[in-house]
Amino acid sequence: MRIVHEILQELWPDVPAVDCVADLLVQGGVEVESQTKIVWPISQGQVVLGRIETIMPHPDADKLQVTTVNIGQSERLTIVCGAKNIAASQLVPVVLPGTVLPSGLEIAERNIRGVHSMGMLASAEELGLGKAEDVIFLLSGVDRPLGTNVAELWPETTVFETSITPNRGDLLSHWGVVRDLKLVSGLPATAYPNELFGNLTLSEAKPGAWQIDIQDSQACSRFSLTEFQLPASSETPFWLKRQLMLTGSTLYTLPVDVTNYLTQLIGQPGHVYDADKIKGDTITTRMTSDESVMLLDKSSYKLHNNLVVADQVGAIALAGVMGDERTAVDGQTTHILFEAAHWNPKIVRRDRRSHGLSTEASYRFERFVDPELPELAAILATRILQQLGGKLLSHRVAGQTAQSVAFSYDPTLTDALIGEPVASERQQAILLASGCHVAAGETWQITPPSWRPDLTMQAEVTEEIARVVGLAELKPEPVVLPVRPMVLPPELLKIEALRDFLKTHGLTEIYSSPFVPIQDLQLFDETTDGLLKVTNPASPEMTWVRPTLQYGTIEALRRNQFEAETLWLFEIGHVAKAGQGQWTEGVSEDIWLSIGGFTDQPIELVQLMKELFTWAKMTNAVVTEVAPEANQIGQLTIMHAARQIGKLIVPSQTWLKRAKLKRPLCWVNLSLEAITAAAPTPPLQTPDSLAAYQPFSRFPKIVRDVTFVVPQAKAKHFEEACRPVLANLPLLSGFELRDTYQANDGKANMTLRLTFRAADRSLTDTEVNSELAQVIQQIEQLTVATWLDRKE
Amino acid sequence: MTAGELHSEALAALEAGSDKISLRQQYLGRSGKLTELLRSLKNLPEAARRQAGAEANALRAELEALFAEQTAEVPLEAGWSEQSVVWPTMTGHLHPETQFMRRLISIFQSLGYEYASGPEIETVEYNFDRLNVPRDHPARDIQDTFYLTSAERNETGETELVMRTQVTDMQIRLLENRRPPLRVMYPGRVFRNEATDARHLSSFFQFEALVIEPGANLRQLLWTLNQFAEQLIGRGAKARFRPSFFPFTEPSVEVDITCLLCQGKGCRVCAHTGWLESGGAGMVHPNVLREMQLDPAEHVGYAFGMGFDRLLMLSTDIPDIRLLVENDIRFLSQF
Repeated sequence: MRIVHEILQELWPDVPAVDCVADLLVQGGVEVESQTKIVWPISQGQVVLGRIETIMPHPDADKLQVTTVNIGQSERLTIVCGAKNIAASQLVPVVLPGTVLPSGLEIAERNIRGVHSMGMLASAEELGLGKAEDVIFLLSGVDRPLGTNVAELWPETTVFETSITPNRGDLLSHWGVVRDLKLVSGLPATAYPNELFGNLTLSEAKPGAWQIDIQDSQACSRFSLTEFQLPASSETPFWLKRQLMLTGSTLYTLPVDVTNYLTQLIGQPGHVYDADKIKGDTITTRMTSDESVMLLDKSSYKLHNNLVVADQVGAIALAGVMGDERTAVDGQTTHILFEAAHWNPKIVRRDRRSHGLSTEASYRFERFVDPELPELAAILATRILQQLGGKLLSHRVAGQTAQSVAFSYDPTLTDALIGEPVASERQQAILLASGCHVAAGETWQITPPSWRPDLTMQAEVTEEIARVVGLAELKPEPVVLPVRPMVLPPELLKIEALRDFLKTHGLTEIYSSPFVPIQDLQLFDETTDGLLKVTNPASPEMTWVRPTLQYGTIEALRRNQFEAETLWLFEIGHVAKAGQGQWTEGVSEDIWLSIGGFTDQPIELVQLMKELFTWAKMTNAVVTEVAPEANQIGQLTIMHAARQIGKLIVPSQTWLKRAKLKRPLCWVNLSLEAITAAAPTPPLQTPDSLAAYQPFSRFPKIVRDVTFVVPQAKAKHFEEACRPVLANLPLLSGFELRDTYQANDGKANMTLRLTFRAADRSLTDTEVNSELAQVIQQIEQLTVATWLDRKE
Repeated sequence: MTAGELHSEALAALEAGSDKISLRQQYLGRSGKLTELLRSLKNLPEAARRQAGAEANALRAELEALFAEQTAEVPLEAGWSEQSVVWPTMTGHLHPETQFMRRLISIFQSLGYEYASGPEIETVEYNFDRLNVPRDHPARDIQDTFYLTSAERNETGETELVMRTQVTDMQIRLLENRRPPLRVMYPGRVFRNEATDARHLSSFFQFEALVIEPGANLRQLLWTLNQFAEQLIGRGAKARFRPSFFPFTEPSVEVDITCLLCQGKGCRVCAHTGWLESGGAGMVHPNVLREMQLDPAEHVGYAFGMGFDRLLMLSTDIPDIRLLVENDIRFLSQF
C-alpha cells in the first residue's frame, strides 16, 4: 500500500525523517518497493485560491458558464468555465495567465466565444495532482486568505510504496505502520491513538430503528451500523481530499471519501449505504443460497453460498468485498448508514476469488482486520462527519469479539534459536511494547494484542524478539566443518560423468520444456493414453507432462537447423506418465536421456551408442534393427540385460517435412537407469567461472566459401593467422576451415567458410560482396596466401 | 519443349532410374521445366494458350502423382546398423544451468552438505500440507500452481498432484528414511503457473539446504550464507537478513547477498543498495519438524532456498531468462 510520510507525522509528530522511516520499515519486515517525493507540480506561473462570486450562463455557448472570481484583489476576474460542479461561494484553484500546466498548456487571457476570460478554474488532474474526475478541484474548508498561492497548500512529502508479508495485515494502515515503527525504534506502542477518538463513545447514542441479525458468528463476529444525516450538498474538505489523493485513493462523495480515509488511517474497511434505499429495518449477515446482485462495478453476480449483507429484499453487499448498486450513495444522498464489521478472512478470500474480485477492502479482510476496530471506526467516522455538519442519528453494534488466546513461552528457547542471549527483561519489554500481555513466571504466559494474529506460539514470539532486536545486528557464528568435503552420491556423479562424456563427444546440452503440446504428440503419432494432464495450463503448450524427451530435442534441432552445419544435442531430464514409479503413488516418473542430431548417416548415432555402452560398462547392451514403423525408415531397439531401455529412430522424409525439418536427422531415447548402473564415478568437474554471455544477432546469416593458395609450410597456422580479420570487419561473424587440398607444387588450397551477419538487419548481397572483398584483401595482407580466383 | 516432349523425357528419365526427388525438382520445382513451360504460356494467343494450358496441367497432375509415389520412403537396408564409422570430432557444451548447479553443489560439499534429489511431480500432501501451508494459502491458488489431473481428489476439490512449486518437499522426504543430524542440499526444477517474460519462466531452478543438528541457530545460518556468498561472489561478499514470512520456517528471514555485479558498491541492478534479494531462510517451523516425526522440543534446524537462474544470469550477463530455455546454439555454444 501507499504510506504517506505526512500522515505518519500527523499520527506521530516525532516521526523520524524519510530515509530513516524507510530503513525502519525494512528492519521491521515491510518491503519498500519505491519511495516517491511529492511536490507541487507547477513551476512556471501561479495558481491562487479564489472564491466564486457569481455564475451566469455564457451568452453564446450552452455548455459554458461565466464566473466572477475573487482572488483577494479589488478587481474580480471573469473566467469562463465548462465544469458542472461549481456554485457561488465555493473556493477554487484559479490558474492565472502565464501559468504553464503540467500538460504543457500555457494559460493566457483569451476570448472565449465573445467573453474575455482572465484565467482558468482547474481540475485536480489538470493541476497534475493525480487522477481524478473531470470536475473543478474544490478547495472546501481551506482557511486561508483569498489569493494565497495554492502551492502552499500542497507541501512536499514522501510516499512509500510498501508490500507486507501475508501474516502482517496490521501493517495495512498508517496507524499500524506508526505502531510498528515505534516498536522497532524501541518505543512503546499504543493500541490506538486516543486523541483521534476524543472522549466520544457511541453507547449513549439512541439505538434507532435498525436491527442487526448475524446468522453465522463464525463468518461475522462483529457488525456495527451508524446512521447519519448529512447537510445537503456537503463537500469533502480539501485536507481529506489531499490525504486520499496521496494514498492513491479515488475521490467520490463525502461519505465514501470518509470511509476510504478510515481504511487508510486505521485499517478498518467500511461501507456506506444510502439509508433511504434500504428496504425494511433489519440488516442481516448471512450465506446466500441462490440469488444475484448488481455490485458497484455495475456487473451482475450470481451468488451461491456467498457471505452477504442483506436487507428485506436481498443482498446489498458481498461481505467484505463490495457494496451493491441498489443501495449505493450518490451526489444527492444525505441519509447514510455506515457499516464496519469483522469478517472471517477465509470466507472473504473464498468469495472474492470465486467472483474474480479484489478490492482494497477484501485485501485487508483476507489478511485479518483487528476485531476491535469496527467500534473505533464508527467513533472516528462520527467525529469527522460531525465536524462537517453531519448529525448522528443512531448506532448499533452486534456480535462478540473473540478474546486472544494465551500461550506459554520460554525466553531461554529464544536465546537458543537466535544463538545469543537476549536478556529476559529486554524480551519482556519488547513484548509489552508490542502490545502483548505478559505474565512472567516459571514459564511465561503471553496474550497477544487483538491486532497481532501472527503471535500464537513460542517460535513466533522468537521471530518478534529477533525482529525488534534487529536482524541486522546478528553476528555470524562459525559452524563446525567436516575435515574432508562431503562425499557426493554415485547417482549424481554418474549422471554428471555422463554429461561430461557427451560433451567430450561434441554434443551440446539443452534444457527443454517439461510439457508437451498436443500437436507435438500428434506429430510423433503418440496418443494421450496414460499421460498426465495439467488441469490449469498457463498456455495450451503446457497441457501434457512430457512422457519422453524427444519433443524438446526435435524442437531444439528445428530451431537451429539453419544455424549450425553439424549439430548434436542431448538432454537429461525427468519424464512422467501415470503408472508406478519410485517416488509418487500413481506416477511413473523417471530420468531419461535423449540425443539427436543432423546426419544422413544414422549409423553415426549407432557408433556413439556403442562408445557410450563401452564407457558405461554396459556389456550386455544389444542394439537390434526392427521393422520401421509408419513415418520411419529405420528403428533400433536398445536392450540391456534383456530389458528394452530405449529406441533409436530414423524418420522418413515425409515425417521430416511434416515436422518442418529441412535436413535428415535421427535420435535416441534412453532410460538413464541402465546407463548409470555401472558407469564410472569420477569427481565432479566444476567450472571455476562461467563465460560471460555475448549478445548474438537474430537476423539470418549469409555464408560464403572462399579458397586461398597457401605455401604448405604456412598451412598449419593459416586459420589462426586469419583470425584478426574478425575484429576488423563488423559484418563478418565467424569463419572456419572447411577443406584443405594438398597440391603437388608445395602449396595447399585452403577453403574458409565465412559467415556474415549484422546485429540489426538482414544483409543484402551487395553488402556481403563488399565485405567479402575486404576479407580477401585483409587475409592476403595478413598472410602469404593468395586468393585462388585472383586473376594474376 | 512442348508438354508432350516433356512427358516422354520425364518417363525416360524415370525408367533410367534417375533419383526421384531430384526429378521432381527438375520438372516441378520453382524453375523446373514444366513450371517454366506453364509460365511461358501467357505469351501465346488465346486459343493456343487454352489448348497448351490444358495439356500442361494434365501433365503436371500426372507427374505430381508419379513423383509423389516415388517419395514413398525406402527403409534403410537390413544390416545398416552393423557398418562401422568414426564418430565425428566436434566441440560440445554443457548448459550453463548444469555448470552453475555444479558450482553450487561444490560450494555446499565444502561446507559438509550431502546432495539429494527428488521428483518433479509431487502430491499436495508433500508439496503443501506437510509443509505447514494451510488449505487457503494463496500459493495454493491455481494461478500459482500447476495441478495435474488424477483420479483422486481431496475434500476441497484440489487435485492431489502438482508440479512441485519448491524443492522444500524434500525436507519431508529426506527425513522419512533417516534421523538427524543432517546437512543436505538439493537443487532441482520447480514450477509456477506464470506467464513467461524476460524475468519469469513457468519452470526454473532452485536449490535448498536443510540442516538439523544440535545447537543450530540463526547466527549459524547467517555464517553459512556468508560462506556461500564469499565462495560464489568473492572475498568480502556477505549475506544479510530481513524479517519475512514463510510457512515452512519460524522465524523466517529474507536473504540478501552482496550484489554480484558491483560487489556491493551499488549499481542499477541492485537499485544502488549493494544487495540482491536472493531467497528465503529461517529456522525449521515446529509444525514441519513434527511432520518429520521430530519433537520440536528436542530438535532444531535451519533451511534456506534460492532460485538460482537469476544468480546465473547476473554472473554471466544474461539479460533475458528465456535464453536459458530457448536452446539456441548461438547461446549454448558460448558456455
